[in-house]
This record gives sequence, C-alpha cells and structure tokens, in this order.
Amino acid sequence: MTTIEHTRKGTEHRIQGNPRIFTYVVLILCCCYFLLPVWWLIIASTKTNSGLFNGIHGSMWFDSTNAFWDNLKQLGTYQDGIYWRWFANTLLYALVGGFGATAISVMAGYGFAKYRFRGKTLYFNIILGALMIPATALVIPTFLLMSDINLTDTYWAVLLPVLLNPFGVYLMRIYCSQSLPDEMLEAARVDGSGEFRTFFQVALPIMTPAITTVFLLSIVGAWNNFFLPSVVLTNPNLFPITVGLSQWQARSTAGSAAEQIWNLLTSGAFISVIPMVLAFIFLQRYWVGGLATGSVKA
Amino acid sequence: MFQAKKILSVLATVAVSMSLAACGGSNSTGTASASADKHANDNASCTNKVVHASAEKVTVWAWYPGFQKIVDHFNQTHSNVQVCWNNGGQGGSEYTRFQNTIKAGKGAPDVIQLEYEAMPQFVAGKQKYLVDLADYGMKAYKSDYTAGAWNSVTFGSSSSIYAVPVDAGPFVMYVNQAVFDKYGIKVPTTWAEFEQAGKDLKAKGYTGKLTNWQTDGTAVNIALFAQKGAQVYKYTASDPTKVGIDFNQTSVKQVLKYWQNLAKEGLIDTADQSSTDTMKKFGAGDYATYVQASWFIGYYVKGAFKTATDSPFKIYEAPKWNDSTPDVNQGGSAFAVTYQAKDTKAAASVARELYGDDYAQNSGVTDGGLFPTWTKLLSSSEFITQTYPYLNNQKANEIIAPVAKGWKGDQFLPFQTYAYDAQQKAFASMVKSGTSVDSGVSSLTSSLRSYAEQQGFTIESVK
Repeated sequence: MTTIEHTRKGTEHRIQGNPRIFTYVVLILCCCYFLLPVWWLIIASTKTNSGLFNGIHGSMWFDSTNAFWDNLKQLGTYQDGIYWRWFANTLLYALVGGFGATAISVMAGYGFAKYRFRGKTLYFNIILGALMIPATALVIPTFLLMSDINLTDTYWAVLLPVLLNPFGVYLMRIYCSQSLPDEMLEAARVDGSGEFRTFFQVALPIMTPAITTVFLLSIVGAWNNFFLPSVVLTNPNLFPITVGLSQWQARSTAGSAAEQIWNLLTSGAFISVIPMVLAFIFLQRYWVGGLATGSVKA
Repeated sequence: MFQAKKILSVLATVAVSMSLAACGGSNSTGTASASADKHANDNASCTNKVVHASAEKVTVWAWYPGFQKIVDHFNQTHSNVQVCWNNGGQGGSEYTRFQNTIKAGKGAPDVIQLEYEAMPQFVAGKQKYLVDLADYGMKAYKSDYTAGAWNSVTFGSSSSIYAVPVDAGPFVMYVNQAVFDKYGIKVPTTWAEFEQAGKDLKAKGYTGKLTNWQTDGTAVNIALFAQKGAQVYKYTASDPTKVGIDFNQTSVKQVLKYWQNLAKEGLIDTADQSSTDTMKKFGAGDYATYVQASWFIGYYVKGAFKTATDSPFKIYEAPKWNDSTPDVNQGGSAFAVTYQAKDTKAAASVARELYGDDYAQNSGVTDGGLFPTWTKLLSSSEFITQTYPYLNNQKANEIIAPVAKGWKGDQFLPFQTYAYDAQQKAFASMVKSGTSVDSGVSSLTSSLRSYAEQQGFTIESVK
C-alpha cells in the first residue's frame, strides 16, 4: 500500500508541476520551428549572390558585407523596376480581393443566418460543398471559363475568383446565428429601423471580430495567391509578387546561361512578407478587442 | 422543392455543357491550316515596347536570357511586322501553359520557344499543335544549322520541319584545374582514366568527389547513353503513332553499371541536378570535374564564384569510351509556330528571322550565353577565339564548337516528362538502394512501354 500511495503522490505532484514547463517547451519548439525560416530569410536578404552560396558564416548568420541596400537598389532597377509593379499589383489584389471577399461573405453569411427564403438549405449546402473542393482543382476550369469570356491576362482574372470565399460565408453564418440574437434585430425593426440600417448599425458592430477574422484570412489568401495567377496571367505587368518571384527563380535555375539573381529573390521575398506581418500586428488588436467585448456582453 | 429541382437541373446542364466544352477543346485537333489575320494581335499586351506601332504584331513566348535585346533589334529592323514578346514561363511551366491554351482553344502565342525534347508532345499522333514550316520555305535554310539541331526539329522526317533551331548544349567536361594541379593528376580523356583519376585523387587525400552523377538528370543521362552509341527513345514525325523505348541494351547497362560502381566506391556524389546545394559544393571545390552541357558555364560557374578569377574551372572534351565515341548534346531549344497563329506566314518569318542575323546570333552568345547552332557563327574566327573570363580566359569554343558540329541529333518521346520521371526513379534506386542494373532497366523499359500503349502508341524497335 505504501508504495502505491507513494507513486500516487508522485503522479499528483507531476500533474501539478509539469503542465507549465511542458507548455513552455512546446511553445519554444513551435517558435523555433516557425521563426527559423523567417530568420533565414532576414539573413539571406542581406547577402550578395555569391554571399548566399559562399558566405563565411554559413547560411544562418550574416556575411562579412551587408548588401541589403544594394539588393534593394537592384530590385528597383532590375527589368526596369518591375518588382515594385508586382508589389503594387499584389497590394491591389489583396486589398480589393480582401475587402470584396469580406463584404460578400459578411452579407451572405448574415443573409443565411437571419433570413428565411426558398432554397436556403440547398444554397448553403452548395457553399459547404464548395468548401470541400480544393481551390487548386478549380484553377484549370477557371482558366477555361476566363478564356471563354476573354478575361485571361486581365486584373479581373485574378480578382473575380478571389472575391468568392465559401469559408468566409460559412464562418459569418455560424457567427451571426450564435452571437447576434434575433430579439435584437426584431427590437431594431420595431423601433422603425429599415433592413439596411439594422444591418449596418446594429449587426455589423457586433460582427466586428468575425469580420476581422474573415478579412485577415481573405487578405492573406489573396496576398499569397500563386497558382491561379500563374495560370491565368502571362503578361508580367499584371503579376503579383508570388508569380514574379517564381519566374525569377526559374530564371536563376535555367539551363542556358541563367541569370543569377538569388539575391533579388531573397530580398524580394523578405520585403513581400513585411506588409503581412504589419497587417497581423495591427488587425490583431481589433480581433482580440472584439472577442473581449463579446465575452463581457455574454 | 420544385425550385430546388429546377436549380439542380440548371446546375447539371451547366456541368454537362462545361465538360462538353472541355472535350471540344481537347478534341479539336490542331489543324495546320494557315490563318492570315493581320490585325488579330493589335491589342495584345507585350513586355517589350513595339517600335512601329501601326505594323502587324506577332506574339512570341520565350524565356531566353537577354531576349529583350533580340526583340528590340528585330522590331527596329522590321517595319512591316513587330514582335510582341512575353515570358510564358520557363521550360515545363511554359509547356503546361501552352497545354492550357490548347484546351481553351485560344490564348496561345503565334511563336513559342520549345526545347527539342518538348516538341514531340505537341506534334504527337493526330494532334499537330505546331505548324509544319516546310510549307513556308524553311527547307531552303537547312545548311544554316548544324546537323544535330536540324534533325532535332525535323524528328527524322525529311519532309516536315517543326521549328527553327536556336541553341544547343554540346556535351563537355568542366575540370577544376586547381585540384588536378595540386595532386599532380592528369586530366582524364577516357572513362577508364576518369575512374582512375577519381581513385588517385582519393588516395592522395582529396576530400571532395570526382564528380556528381545526377540520377534525376534528364537530358544529361540521354547524352551519356548516346556516347556509348545507345538510343533509348525513338519517335519520328514520319510515323507519329509509333514510339520506341529500350533501356534493355548492353551499352545502356554498361553505362549505368559504370556509374553505379563509381557511386559504390564512394568516388562520386549523387546529388540532384539544379540544386543550390550542388552549386555550393561546386563553388567550394568539392567537385573535381563536372560532365555537362556547355551552357553550364552560365548556370553554375558564374553563380558559384564571386569574381571570374575565383573560378578554377576549364573546359575539356568529355571523356570517351573509345575512338569512335560520338559527339553528343544535352538540351537546346528552338522557335515553333503554333496552330493558333493569327497570321501563320508572318509568324513563320518571325520564327526564322528572330535569331537569323549576325547581330542576334552574337547577342545570343554574349548576352544570353546561348551556344549557337548557326553554322556561320560556329565557323567564324571571332567566335572560335572568344575567351571566357570564368574559364581562366580559355578559348573554350575551340573545344566546344567541334562537338556542336559533330552531334547528329537525338529523339524524344511525346510523353518525355513522364519518361524522365520513370527514368529518374529507376536510376536513383540503382545508386541509392542498390537495385541491380539488369532488373532496373528491364522493368523501366516494360513500364514505359505499357504506358505508351495506354496512350495509344504502337511500340517499335529503337534501331
């Protein structure tokens, strides 16, 4: 008996003491796992082309010379500074696509949650079905459709498919039906508010956390969009950064007398992640803030 | 419920019509019939600036380095036709894009850059997505190009020409002179000496590897077999329903056993091609030699070293089996005219004239690093005596040009990418998991043949 009690005490002690250490260990491992590639990218963006391959301190530490500003200058001049054009395109795709996708998702989700209309279940099931199909599988059919209506090689070829975000609609519907009481909308209607006013002034403020989430997800999705634009675009003036950089990478590994522009790839990739990091830092506040507001009201 | 049924039926109709449309796209066999719409490309968007805005435009996809200069030169020297250029992607990604436009039935350029090995897939069987340039007077220019390049664009046919050759990749050996000098070892000229050099280097304390055999090397392995006189793939335009596939030949086995043995003895590396890791080793002096195409200089040598004087490499002839070992080639590409060309005749003239003068050919060499197939340039004394800074100012063309002229051409399959994948798996298991060469080549041959039959081809002998 004593031995059993002893071991039981031992396990109790472990259960009390270990979770925190365990959490820390897991978190630290996760941090390393996620941050090491970023660290590599930061380091690599400061190197010259040959520094990337023959840098004296290896790939995880700075080379003897810091070429970041030279790389930046070269980015501005290589192929007449097309990199910044790509940057602007990505910004356009991400912002227009992100805002548009969010607006459509919010309205559609609200509609599904709060209105009754014919074929509601069917429509929603179609959206759920769309969730199951990986977007990649739709790229070639999308290309054929775009080609039919002569939209390939235009901004619309990238923007239109990005606007539809089934996951966003799904998320908004769930959020609306759970945290937006019907009584509240009815109260607004009784007080004489029209449907639009109810939506914009009563529903929207409560939906802020979900809107931010959908907006962030849409913007990140549009920013990282690669396969679709790589198929529907041929004109480099319309490329987003992702497609442009992959073309540069192909150029660096090409057979016949490739141009070695690895340094532009690393610095270009580094610059392209900065806006996303900023977006997360700033939008996160609304996200967390919104969730907190919700919890107090509940 | 009625509503739902209606919607479902609408959806079904849409789905069916879409799939029909898709079928229609892929079934529409490319007709080689000529078009002559001079204004179809008036609103095409181009990477380059067109010089004569009112002239007819011909759209071109190409990824050659330094191609902008070639396009500008063409547009300045031609007032009746202008090139509208875009980079449709490099190699495989361009071919996928071209396939997509074939499915869509539109969107392909008038003129497209294709590697020799990628051309058969676009002229296979009944589908002819490339225009036969023999109908546009191309035959008259046969003597302008090396025999190997000409055979590569005609696929062994005497009547059809599917592209205009631009560059090639004569097969040579890059030698790290510093390593051979340091250990006092003679640069090998035969494969027997090559193996001995590896043993000697190892015995004298060289810690690097003799070379890197790329099991995933595509055209490089075809070149190694061709050196031994073995043709593993056969496909001719004169009978496009038949393919020949045969790795089960004594000479192929000899080549593979040679490399398997070198790997077993630890003399060579077997890293993947085109990896940044191999490039790093290349720059660090970890490879004593590299047997590769001449374009390799632009690819690794320039990238691996900070300045030209840092590079210890020089070019030698590729090691031979015996005196009758043929000159071989790895890679190269050409301009083809697509079946979607808006004005076929203008497209054919653009395809031929883009690299069809001294300026363009010279620019291809100096700005693009292309190795020419144009006999006039290959024989010019300026070209032969040109020095390469990254090769210790060696007059490397003295060695490369004869290889280019000696090459007789290679044949590739209409599903070459698939074949390369299968080939790579088989070779990798020979050096990495010790699969025997004999069983490896016979299973590779039979699996590729059955794939070919599934695709509707008849198997013929490669001889």
